[in-house]
Amino acid sequence: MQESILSYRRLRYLWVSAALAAVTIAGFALHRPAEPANGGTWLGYTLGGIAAGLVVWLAAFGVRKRAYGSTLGSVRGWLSAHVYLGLALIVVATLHAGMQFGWNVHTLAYVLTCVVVASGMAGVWLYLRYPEAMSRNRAAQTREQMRAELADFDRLSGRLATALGGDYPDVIMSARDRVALGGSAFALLAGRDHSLIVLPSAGGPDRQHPLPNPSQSRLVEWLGGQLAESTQGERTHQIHELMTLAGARRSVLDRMRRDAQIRAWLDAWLYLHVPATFALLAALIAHVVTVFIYW
Amino acid sequence: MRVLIRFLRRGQAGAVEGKERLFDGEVVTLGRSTDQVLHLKDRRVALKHARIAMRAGRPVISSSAPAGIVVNDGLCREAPLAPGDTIRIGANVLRVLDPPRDVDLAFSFELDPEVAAATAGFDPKGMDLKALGLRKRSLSWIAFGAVLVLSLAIPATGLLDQKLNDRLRAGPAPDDGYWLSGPLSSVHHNLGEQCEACHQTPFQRVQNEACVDCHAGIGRHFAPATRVAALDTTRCAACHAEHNEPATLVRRDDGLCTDCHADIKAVAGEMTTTGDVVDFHDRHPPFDAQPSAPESLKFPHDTHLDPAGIEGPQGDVVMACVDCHRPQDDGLRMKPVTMEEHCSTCHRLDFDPAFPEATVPHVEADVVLRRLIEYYSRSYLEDYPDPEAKSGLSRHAEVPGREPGAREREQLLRRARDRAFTIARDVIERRTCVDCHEIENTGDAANPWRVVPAQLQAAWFPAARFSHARHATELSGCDRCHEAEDSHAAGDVLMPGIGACRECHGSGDPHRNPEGRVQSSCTLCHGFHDVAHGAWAPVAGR
Amino acid sequence: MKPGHHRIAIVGAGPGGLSAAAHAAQLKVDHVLLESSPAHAHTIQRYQKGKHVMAEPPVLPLRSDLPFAAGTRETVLERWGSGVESLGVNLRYGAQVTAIAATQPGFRLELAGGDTVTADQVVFAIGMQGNLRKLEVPGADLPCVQYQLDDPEEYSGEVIVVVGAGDAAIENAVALAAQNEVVIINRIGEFARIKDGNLKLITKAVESGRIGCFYNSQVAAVQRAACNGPGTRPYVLVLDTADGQAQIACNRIIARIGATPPRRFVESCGIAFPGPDPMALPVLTDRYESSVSGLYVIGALGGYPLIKQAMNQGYEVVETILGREVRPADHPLFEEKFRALPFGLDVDATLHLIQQRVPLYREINPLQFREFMLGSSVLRPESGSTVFRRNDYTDTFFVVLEGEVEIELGEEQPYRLRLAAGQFFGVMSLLSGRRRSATVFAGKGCVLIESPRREVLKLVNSLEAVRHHIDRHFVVRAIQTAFAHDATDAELADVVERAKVNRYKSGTVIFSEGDEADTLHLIRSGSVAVSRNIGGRDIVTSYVAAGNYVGEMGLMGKTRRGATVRANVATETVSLGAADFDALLARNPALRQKVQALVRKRLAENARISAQPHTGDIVSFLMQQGIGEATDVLLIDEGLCIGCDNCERACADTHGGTSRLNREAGPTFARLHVPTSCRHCEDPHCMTDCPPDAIRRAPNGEVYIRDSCIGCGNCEKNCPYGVIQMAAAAPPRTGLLPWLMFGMGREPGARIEAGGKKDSGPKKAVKCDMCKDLSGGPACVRACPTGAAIRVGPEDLMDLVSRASR
Repeated sequence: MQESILSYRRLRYLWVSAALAAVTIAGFALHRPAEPANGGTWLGYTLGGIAAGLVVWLAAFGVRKRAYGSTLGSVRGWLSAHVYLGLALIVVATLHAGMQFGWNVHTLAYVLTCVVVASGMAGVWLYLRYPEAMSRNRAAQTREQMRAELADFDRLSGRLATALGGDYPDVIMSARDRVALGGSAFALLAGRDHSLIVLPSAGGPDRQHPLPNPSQSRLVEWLGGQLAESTQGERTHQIHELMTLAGARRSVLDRMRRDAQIRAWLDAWLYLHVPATFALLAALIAHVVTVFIYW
Repeated sequence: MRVLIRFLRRGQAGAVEGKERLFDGEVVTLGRSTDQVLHLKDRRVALKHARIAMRAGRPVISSSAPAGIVVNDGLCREAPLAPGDTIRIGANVLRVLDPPRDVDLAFSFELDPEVAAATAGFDPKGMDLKALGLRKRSLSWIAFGAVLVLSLAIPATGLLDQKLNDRLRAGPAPDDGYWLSGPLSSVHHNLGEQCEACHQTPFQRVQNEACVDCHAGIGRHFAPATRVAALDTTRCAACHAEHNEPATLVRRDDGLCTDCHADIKAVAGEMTTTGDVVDFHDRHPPFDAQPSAPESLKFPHDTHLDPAGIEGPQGDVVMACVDCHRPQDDGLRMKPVTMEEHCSTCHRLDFDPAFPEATVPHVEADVVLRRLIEYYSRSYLEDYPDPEAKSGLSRHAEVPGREPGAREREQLLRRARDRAFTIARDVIERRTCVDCHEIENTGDAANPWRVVPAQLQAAWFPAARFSHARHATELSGCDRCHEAEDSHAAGDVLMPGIGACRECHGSGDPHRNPEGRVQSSCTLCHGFHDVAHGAWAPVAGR
Repeated sequence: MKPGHHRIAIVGAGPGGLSAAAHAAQLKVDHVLLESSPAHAHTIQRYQKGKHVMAEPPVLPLRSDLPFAAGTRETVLERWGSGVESLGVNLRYGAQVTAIAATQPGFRLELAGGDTVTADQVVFAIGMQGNLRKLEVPGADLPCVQYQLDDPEEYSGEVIVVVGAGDAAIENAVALAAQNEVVIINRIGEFARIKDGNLKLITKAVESGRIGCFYNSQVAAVQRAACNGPGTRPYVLVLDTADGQAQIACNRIIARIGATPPRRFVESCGIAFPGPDPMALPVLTDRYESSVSGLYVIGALGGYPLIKQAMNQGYEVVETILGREVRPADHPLFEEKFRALPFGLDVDATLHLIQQRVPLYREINPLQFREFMLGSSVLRPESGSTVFRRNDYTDTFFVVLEGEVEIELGEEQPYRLRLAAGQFFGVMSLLSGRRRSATVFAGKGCVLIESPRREVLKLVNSLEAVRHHIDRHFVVRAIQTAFAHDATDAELADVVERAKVNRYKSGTVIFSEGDEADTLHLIRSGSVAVSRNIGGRDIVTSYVAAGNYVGEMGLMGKTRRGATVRANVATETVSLGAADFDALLARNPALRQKVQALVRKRLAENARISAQPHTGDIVSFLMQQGIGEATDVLLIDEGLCIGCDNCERACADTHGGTSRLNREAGPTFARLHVPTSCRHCEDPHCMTDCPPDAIRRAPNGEVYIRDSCIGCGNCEKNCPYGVIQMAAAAPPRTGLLPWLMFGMGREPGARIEAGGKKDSGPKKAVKCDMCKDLSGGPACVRACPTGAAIRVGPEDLMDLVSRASR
């Protein structure tokens, strides 16, 4: 129910950047350069200056965000401005270039600008979309608690399994040991479950191969099979216990995976946004310097 | 070696059930991965944790994992195995047994339920990108460095050493071609990749010398005497912008001229007389073409162009402009009009009605007089063509075939000379020359006439660029611009006024150019460089 | 001189005793210092290792032959030890005095073990700890049995049995449980008579199984384990439990079975106490002499819990005994304080005068009053100047000593009350801990005594008379504020007599829907939730804070209760009977309209909220999270929170490296997340038990901890929301850019990994101070990129809720 970064202060920074863009466009439209519009005219230099200033200021957000002592506005305000002025930058940069593109450092800088802004827009989208999903999925549990819970289930099912004896310890432990959570960026972002399980097979203990066990389904299956065969009341009960535990493990595992996935996404876009920004800064330096080397 | 493995499992009541397996091979590998000979459980076990092999006839277990192995409650990396030894790897317990016959090693294998159950809190690794060792900082610096090196550092090395630069350009390595802010205009393609041809010193704008190196002898804008600081210090590149497609290499906009000429006095002070120009369409000085001297030729265009025709030797003739005016081959100006070519068919130069074939050349008056004197002298001396020639002479002068005597000859010549003067006066003053030319009387009795020479203005504005050919093809006829029909005097200026041009030609500024007019910037008619003023001397630019 | 006879016998080698003995030794006076334990300053010996010992009150000058300055327990003890050495104090360890008999002349002191000592004068410096009770079972002398715990981190991987169910036992048990398997033995069936904080701790630990617990059990014997080997425990504790004997194999046994309370012993020596109140202090002269002449009482037992005071008294008492004129060390301070006063009397006379002038203070014993006054200050405000303003967060207590003050009450039509000399004000805030309810202007030539809330509360709790006085006053003022501005105390007298002060535990129902409406409740402290049963569900319709009243609806309409009122937190109300209420209304017709207006307002509110029951749910959720007693709480809109933890980092970075809030923890409801962070309660639980009084409330309401914190951890335990933590000062922060650009130094505000915790100096309590020292407001909110973090107070709570429920 709080206003989001987009609606911050009744869209204050939307208006600011809109105004900036409007002024730029108007300037470009009214400008009558001797040669075709490009960065070399006085307007070109002006827009270039503005764009460069914007880029540096936008990049400075990374610093401000962490300068916790700073009282220079609120980070929220900064982010709001960061988002909107970032969009305005595209307009300014495009007009600065006067739509002249080629295979050179100058266009490189422009392309990088677009990449950075685009990734930024993706970030905004993620920021607006995911938080609610995250808190729903987490159900007021901390990651710590989820881990502890899982460990608990593991321990309990371990106890039960050893009590049951037979194949149970192996199966339960393999299910436990071969749970796949995260591990690689792709796994995190895809959020698919690559857990495995080793089930006893006729081939004897040395002829076993791990089988896929997505959200513990195969384990539950196997336990179900055992349950069906089991005859002794006490054992049946224990197996049943084990099954419910498996179910509980499944749900907590899925939630951990989903949580990790969401957090990964909320973070992932920055791995493009930030390096691209640095590349952009480099390109910007190259652009400015070279323009004056061959003046 | 032959190894006997007894798999033990403890049931609830502590009852032990077991399977046996006989392994035949060099090495018994132990670990969590399923490809191991002995496949251990428990997360604490490494994928390939340990191996048992015979060494000097004794089985030796050695850890291939940093964690090591616990043999008889002592952690170690390697240990020989003897019956009774207990090996613990995570929750797995191996007890070495007395090997039965023809078996080198025998051990039981079981899980320690206690240890198995007591798992440390499960702490999955790599649950977020940071934990996976992804670092924005390093990525950023890599990106930063890469861009900076490739796009700036490496090409910049070329600036230090020309040879290196050429090598860079030759090879695939990044060169200063990356810096090209736009394609080179076609005329400069001969320069190829050699940026330094124009950009001679880094961080310094292109100097005029660089241009003049090739464009030697390009004309000045005005006479060397005139010095206009603003122009002296102007860089060629100020008007000739490179790397800026789709622009042509020359500025075409009015600003090129009007920057100065809008208020030329401010720039050139008293050194110029030209008026201010802002735009051809509304502020451009009129074409005030003035003959340098009054025209003496008598040529009424109207009578010649009279549609009813004009009287000629063989009756009336209807004349058109093209009878006299023909464009030169370049199509710009007209070929000169000459007496011999264009007038003489009608305007014949005979002088003696008695001898209509005899004519005088179209030359100065004194020459004409001399020719007449010669003409008559000869005719009087040879055969008295003229009855008058002999009147009043002595009798025996009439004797046929007889040479006149000295006195006689003298008389004849005097008569011939008088005759010549009479005829000359008649031709020059009364009949022929005077038709078209003005005659002056020189006080000199020996040669009393002078013909005032005609002006015959070839072009009013020699520096202006105007193609009669192109206009003629596009327009119907000369009279569209030149009002010759009503011109009585040859002195009339028949060049059209600026208004005529403005009927078609508008402003150089597309935004100010009125509807339906040809956009006409200054450079359409005017040139900047004019060799007439001499070659452009390089001026030190900024 | 007889052997075993001394001029002065000093009982208890605590700070007071040591100081006294040291001074005696310094003056070469024949003396003996009897200490029951085998070491000096036994209480301090039992402090946790490395604990920081404070030298409070800082203003008080030290007057002793022993050195003392704030420092770690070790240094303090070490310096005293060497001091005792060099001065040649005659110190007898393990000499437990069992009885003291007055012999003419002098006294005879019976020591445990039959030995006796005689002395002319006896100085009691035994403190409040009394003598530790020991296990009296076979095997109690085994080395595994100990009665104190220096450093819980000393032991790990052991099985440790803690005997006893007092605060000390529980604190030890919980501390040990971190690294050991702990079993706690409780004589009775529950944990009673302990601090709430500890109760929470232990019940949680027992339920979660971290600590094993035997109820209704007693130690029968301690034995060496029969078989010894790896993994087995060297000792066995035999227990008598409700269902037969039990055995616990263990490594050590820590017995915390309390101490014989000193009072009984002291009384046995003939020293008189003012009353049966367990908190009461013995009757003493201002020279610390008890009702038994020649028997002096100093230190905590005499009402001076602070080390420095005790040491000074030790010095002074010896001086007194030697018949020298001695002024207490605080004398100059008082002279300074009283310089402003127009009476021109000396300190003692002035103190006496004040007690005479102020009825409220008459019953207080002079020493206690002296100490009380040490904390207070004397003001002579300009006539007409404001003493405090309405809605200030100050909570000090004032008495008028001279002249008069004017109190301006009421908001819309303010009116003034006059207070004459001897009366007091500031009670509302004193009791509710809320903002000032009135503005007070100084009158002509008025002299005020301002006392800190905590000091006054100490009085209120220790002296029935004072409490009654204050309660009555509060009722008067409450009624005046709410209903009868112009009524004088006299007029209200009988109403006040009939009015009752009720105390409700959190969650108890004050009255419920459908009851007979017979009383009106003025909420004096805490806050209540008003709920109505809608469609079989209790839906909270609103919450009413202290200073307002509930129950008027029923009374006005003479109907049954239209809603249920529950205490959100521990709440105190003043209840008025229906008759009295009518009487008040009758006095003042305008009032009737006012109350009716309020009724209408509340009815409207109810209607609105019943329309959207979701709102009710959110309110009750927030109430459960203690927002009911909050003055400012951090909430997070989960719809916006991206979990970047910037709030935590900002907090840590601006507060010495430790974040005072935990974003992730805490419950969530309808997008509203209540992170673990301080609510700045109206009546902060953390303040209740802070030895150095380091927890204060700033004028703007921020509850913060001053540097004088001694790291005792009481507040940590007392906070029901777990927002206080013990943290050591973090390593100095490094530059931002070097880290940001090159990863040099530490990330600003990043969590400091545990591990360096032992060597990183003393731990102190840290909590949110709402960045009161930072310009620009709370760092957490300013650092939130998405604006998910917000801070709300009770006033804007309701509209937040209605926004949230949309």
